[in-house]
Amino acid sequence: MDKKKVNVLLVDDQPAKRLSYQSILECLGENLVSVGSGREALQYLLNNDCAVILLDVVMPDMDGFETATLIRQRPKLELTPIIFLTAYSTSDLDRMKGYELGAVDYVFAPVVPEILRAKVSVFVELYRSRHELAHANEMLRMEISERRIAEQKALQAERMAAVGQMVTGLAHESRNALQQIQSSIEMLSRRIQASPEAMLLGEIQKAHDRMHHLLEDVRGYAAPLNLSCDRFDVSRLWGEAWKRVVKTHPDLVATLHEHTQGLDLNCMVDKYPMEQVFYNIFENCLNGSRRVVKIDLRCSPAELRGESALRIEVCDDNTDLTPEQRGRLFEPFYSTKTTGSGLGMAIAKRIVEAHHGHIAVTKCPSPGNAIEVILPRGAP
Amino acid sequence: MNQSISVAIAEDEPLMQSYLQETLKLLGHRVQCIVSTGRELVERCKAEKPELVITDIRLPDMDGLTSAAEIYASEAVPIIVISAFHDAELIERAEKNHVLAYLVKPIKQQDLEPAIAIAMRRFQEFREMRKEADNLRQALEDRKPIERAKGLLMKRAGLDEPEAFRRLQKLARDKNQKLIQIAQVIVTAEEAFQKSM
Repeated sequence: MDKKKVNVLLVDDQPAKRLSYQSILECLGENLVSVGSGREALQYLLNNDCAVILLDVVMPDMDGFETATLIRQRPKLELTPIIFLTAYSTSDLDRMKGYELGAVDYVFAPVVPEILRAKVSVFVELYRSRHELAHANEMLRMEISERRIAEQKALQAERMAAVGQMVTGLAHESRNALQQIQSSIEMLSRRIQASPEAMLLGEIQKAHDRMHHLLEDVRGYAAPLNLSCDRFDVSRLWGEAWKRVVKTHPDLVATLHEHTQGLDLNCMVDKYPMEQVFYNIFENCLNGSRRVVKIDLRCSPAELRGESALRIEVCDDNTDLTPEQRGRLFEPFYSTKTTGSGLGMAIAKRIVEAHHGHIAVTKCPSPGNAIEVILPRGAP
Repeated sequence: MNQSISVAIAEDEPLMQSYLQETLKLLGHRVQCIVSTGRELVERCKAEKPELVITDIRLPDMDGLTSAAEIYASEAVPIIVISAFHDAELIERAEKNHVLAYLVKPIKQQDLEPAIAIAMRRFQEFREMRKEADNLRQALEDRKPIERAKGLLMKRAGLDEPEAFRRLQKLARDKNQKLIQIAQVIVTAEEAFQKSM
């Protein structure tokens, strides 16, 4: 029962003989297909595979040998075994020699049921084991390719970790150098405040600040993330992030409207990186061209991989992304703005995913785009 | 509003030394000493008792956090560290070692100014809280002889509790002494009598 039935093709022009072969082979429990001519046999073989073909030699129109020749011409059927059913005659035996290279056998009339049954069942078993082997082979091949992918991933992770360590080291060393630049700028500017050259110092200061932010962003993106999570009310985190982000945009009139609907806002998070996520999302909202920005933050219950989660949607009326921009928002170094490193959203994605969460661009109810963050509540 | 504070600085980089010195003066503070090793910082702080310590985390002999811990052990003082590193482990160690601000390089005058103000305020609050805790502890300590004296009066003079307490108060008033002193006298007297018996 657990074995799949295989096809056995029976070709004979006489219905009575077909019936007798059928009754002999029935007890093998395979799928017997009987056809009345070579042409029908070829037709059937176009779309079906079979374990063995029983071929009557003497048939009108196209005899068994002709049919066999045509069957053998098809590459797919080259190896399909053929059993010729024939009355004993020397001339037939001579002609059969031509087929001896392929898997060919013959059964002489009058047919001895045991012999026919035994021969068919040998070919059926052969077919079956060949298929099982092919299947096992396929599984092995899949396993090998899976392993190869896993190996590549591990290698890539290793490489990323090395890059992360390098970048962390680079950031540390650069901070010392940047500090020297900063100290010198400030001390010099105190001395030459009144002179026109002071303007140049302003330019150096700006370049220093850009360099500083770029390095911090790259570090944030590449440095290893070692999370240590605690149950935390995430509204406190976005509150802190909002306070900080607003400070960096003194020229904007920005308001944050929170709609938490009385939900439990506790999730297992590492508070510093998660605050960074909100900071980067807000920064992405504010870093546009408008002077007045209104941000809506909505919470709703969600599910992630069958576990309870919290959905936080941040919607602003400031950014309206094209589909292309929407697709590439989380790519590192992709930016639609002239300022910033283009790493903010990539960093946010990295941190959210390290928390086993989900982040995506969605559509706002009002015009504009929303960033959706889904955080699992339980232990990541 | 901005009061002048005496500051001890540990920093091994000459450029950073002059920068901190100049900037702190500009902010109206006094640089009490500026040293380049952790050992010197610990010694100078013990001797000169600055009101604020600013130290780099990486010093040639010991790290700034170790010297901070040593300084704090002998005298509570607000400490600000400046560091090129900011990994979780260092920050955690800084918190444990009573560091009130952890500034990551590069720092600017506009970072230093609020950091100093906040550190000073936190330290003030902390000191007040500690004083309050000390007062409470003392009050609790005082209660013990008073309770015992009250108990003795109740047993010896057959008074109830409010009466015993009123008598203690009256005695303190009449003798112009503190309640705790009267209570201690009664407890001592009781001990004297018990020994003679």
